[in-house]
Amino acid sequence: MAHADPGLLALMALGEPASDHSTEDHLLTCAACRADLAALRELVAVGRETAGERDLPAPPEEVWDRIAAETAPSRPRRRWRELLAVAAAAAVLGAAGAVVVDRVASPAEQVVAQADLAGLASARGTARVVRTADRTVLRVVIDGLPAPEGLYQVWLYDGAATMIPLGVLAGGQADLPVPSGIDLRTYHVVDVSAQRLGQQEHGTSVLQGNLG
Amino acid sequence: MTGAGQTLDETTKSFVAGEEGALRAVYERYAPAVLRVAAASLPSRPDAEDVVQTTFVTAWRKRESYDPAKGSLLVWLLTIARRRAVDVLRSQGRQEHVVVALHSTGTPSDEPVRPERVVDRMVVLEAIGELPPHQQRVLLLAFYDDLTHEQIAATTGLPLGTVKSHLRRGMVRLRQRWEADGGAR
Repeated sequence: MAHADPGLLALMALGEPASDHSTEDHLLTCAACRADLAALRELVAVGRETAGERDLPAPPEEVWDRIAAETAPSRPRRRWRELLAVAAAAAVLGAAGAVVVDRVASPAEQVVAQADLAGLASARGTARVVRTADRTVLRVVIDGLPAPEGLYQVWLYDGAATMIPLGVLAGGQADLPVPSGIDLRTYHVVDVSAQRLGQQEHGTSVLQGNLG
Repeated sequence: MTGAGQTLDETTKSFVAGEEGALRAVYERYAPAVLRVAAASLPSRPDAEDVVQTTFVTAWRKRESYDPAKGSLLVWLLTIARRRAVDVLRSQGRQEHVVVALHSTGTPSDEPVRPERVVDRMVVLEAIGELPPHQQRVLLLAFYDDLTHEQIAATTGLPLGTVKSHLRRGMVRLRQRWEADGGAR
């Protein structure tokens, strides 16, 4: 005879009696259908076990933060160089209208470049290069940073080998003077790291962005 | 056999394409299952969380090597997690059977479960979640509440024939997913 109906086998695997004698008889003589039934019973057993596996807890949020820090893009962008060249030319010509003016800056200030900082799921921020009459600062504003175990530090990074510490970030905000000898076309990556207290070298990167 | 890849959802597609935010979406969907399998494989919780981290970082970096025809994204992730967990154990000079023995020293109700069995449960749990709602409801009454099709009909008010056909179709679909993903392991 033909093999047992798969639907009937499914019901049997769920523990229901075989609905007709011909199926029972067939199973006695057909190894393939018996194996089929055994596989379905195994599936039912696993299915029943899933009762205890619903609503599994997610890992602690730090696990995601570490993943985000490790997978954060950190490729330099050419645009920044071009933009700085425009800004420099504009400054020379005294044509301030050519640079981006951000409402975050006061009237005497110009935002010449900025970076969106990303890496942590929970935190978002920006770093702006703000030029005033007498100096240039990196203005960092970040929302949603968890309380640090040690402290957060802001760095400029050339994307390859050298990191320059600019200063400590407290309360998610800081105006950090950019030393006059630092070329932001080279140090185009803004990095925020978690540092142990007293740690001199760069700790764990939590947020990064490219100035542009 | 129907491949899991036939119904590639948007999240999986955007993950493979490397779109922004896709890793987070995949993490939110699958991190609990990855952690569950890692914790079933390793005696230390911090080690299990480290495995979750390396699994998603590895998956993101190697996303182009994911082949939907060989199984679901979930199974791919769980396979990576299992390999990482075994690596961690080896680096600590342990053997997997020792871990299973360690787990078994818990309370009597806390039976040791082979990590592969936990993987199976994750696969079936996801497949159940993807069933059409009426099939899912009827099948869960059979699985979790151990109701016969007659009892399910009485509970839900559905005709007996409808209950039977939901049970059959639900089981057939679960089995297709189960076997498609079994090929990846």
